[in-house]
Amino acid sequence: MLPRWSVIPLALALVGGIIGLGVLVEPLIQKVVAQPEPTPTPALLKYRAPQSWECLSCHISRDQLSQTVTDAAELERLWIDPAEIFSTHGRLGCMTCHGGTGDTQDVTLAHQGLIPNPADYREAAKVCLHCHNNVRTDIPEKHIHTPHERILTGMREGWEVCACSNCHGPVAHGAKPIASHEGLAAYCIDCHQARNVPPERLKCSGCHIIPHDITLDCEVCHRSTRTWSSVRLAVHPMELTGAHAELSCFECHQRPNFMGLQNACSACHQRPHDFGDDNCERCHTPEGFR
Amino acid sequence: MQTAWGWLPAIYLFLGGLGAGSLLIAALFEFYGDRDRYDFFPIPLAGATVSGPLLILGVLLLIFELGAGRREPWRILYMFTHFSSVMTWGVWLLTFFIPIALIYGFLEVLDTFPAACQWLKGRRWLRWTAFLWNLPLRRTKRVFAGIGSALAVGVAIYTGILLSAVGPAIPLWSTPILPGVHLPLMPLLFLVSALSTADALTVDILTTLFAGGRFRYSRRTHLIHLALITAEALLISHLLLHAFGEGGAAAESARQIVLGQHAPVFWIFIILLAIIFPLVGHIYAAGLGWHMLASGLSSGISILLSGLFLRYLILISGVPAFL
Repeated sequence: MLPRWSVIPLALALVGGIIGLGVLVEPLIQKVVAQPEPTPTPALLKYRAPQSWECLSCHISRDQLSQTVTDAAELERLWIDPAEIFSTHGRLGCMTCHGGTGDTQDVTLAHQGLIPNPADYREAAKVCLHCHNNVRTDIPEKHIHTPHERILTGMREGWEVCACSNCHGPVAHGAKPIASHEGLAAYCIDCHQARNVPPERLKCSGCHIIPHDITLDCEVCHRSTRTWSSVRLAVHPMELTGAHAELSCFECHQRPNFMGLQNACSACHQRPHDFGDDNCERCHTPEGFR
Repeated sequence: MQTAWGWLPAIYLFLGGLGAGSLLIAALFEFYGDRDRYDFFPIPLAGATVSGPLLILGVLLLIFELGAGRREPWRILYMFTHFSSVMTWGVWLLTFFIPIALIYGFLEVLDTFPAACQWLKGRRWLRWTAFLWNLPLRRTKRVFAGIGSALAVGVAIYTGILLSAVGPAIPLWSTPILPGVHLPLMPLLFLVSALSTADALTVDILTTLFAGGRFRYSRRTHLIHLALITAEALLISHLLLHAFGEGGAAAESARQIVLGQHAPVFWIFIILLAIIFPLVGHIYAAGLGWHMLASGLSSGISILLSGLFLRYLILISGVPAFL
């Protein structure tokens, strides 16, 4: 019979034994069972916010910056709004993305090994892709189609592709070009036009997944990117007034290309005379029905 | 697949759950299990005494795992003041729970071993504690068992809340308790698992070893354990089915568990050792009224092992959402 006091050490030893057994057995099982090819995972990005305070002490102060930078425009470019350091990416600290040497007030030393644009295709694989290595190409809930897959492959393989910041802007510094078409145009469209990107890629459908089951170009019906939900009624061959104006397109038209009408006039209107057939349009127009 | 959390977090989540669960089981027998009928009752003795040490070991592993905890330990203090973070809630829970668990364990030792109590009373260097010896031992113990139980539920749930707080980044961990209900499943799963593993340690193994598995409410205890194993099986099924239904990263996690790289661990250590084998063992024990040595030891060890592997599997198969 075991002594009563041994309950406590035995319980603790059992827990220790179980943990040891688990840690030993799991790799053995993984060895015995055929393993699929592991997904390559990048090394961890070194978190260096605590070493970045000296960067900030200079870059958030125009006075400090003016001691080494004389050009006003350059000074403005290098100045960091203190509010930006509390953004999601700003909280990672300057050195986490930009490199350099931390904890020094020596300007030359501080900028050794600096990466001016960590989102550039030559750097992004080592910086941005640590966290964002699994971004989607199609984002159907936002009707967005992006070239992420090609860009990420390019970054990994060393091709010359656009930088993350071309669309997303300097994410730790407040800019969000992706938030508006105007912002995107400044980064993407001009560059794509300059590089002779095929014209269909410059249309709405170059970036957007069409949310309707139709094959027409978006710009055929939609007036503007700001008021995308209002459609270009002027292109409609008959004026939509009264009850007609309240109908959605596909209550009358057929998907996917609007060709033909699925509803005839007689589906809603009664024929007030005996002559003729159900095709009212043979004699009537909506503007002057009588 | 997430690569930041592996064995070490799995071990401290397991120790946290087991420590909290052990105190809960001990307190349950303190209040409802006729603790006072026996001079020596292994369930509350083991449950109360191992709880504090297991939690301390878990916390040490946690601090060791935190890079900042090793390099700049004073930064751990910041964790006490960031009240919007679940980490801070956990730090406060543990800060209160560990001393309570240690005191409760100490009182249980004094209650079980009166000779130890007498020996301590006779020490000169403990004279200043004379006023404490006049307190009614069992009533004081019950106060600590009560406070400890409330905190233990918090600690057991917290290990699941910690994971579900990371949930938006790793969808499997934020699986809701029911579709459309914005309450995560992990805290409940971890609470059930904490109780089941603690029951395995204190009832299945230690009571079988030290008391032949027989005590007044043993049949009822095995039925409760049977219900816990069934609940765990249902919660794991729900976790995986929901993940498959959700698609994306959650489905990939579930696929890794059921069919992929971690399938052997899942089928051997979760399905077989955590569910099928203990279910059979406990149906047998509930029918008989107590565990035979073989059934008590084997089902107890299998449940403990599967509790560890459940946490490891959930951690290691976390596939990050698209960022």
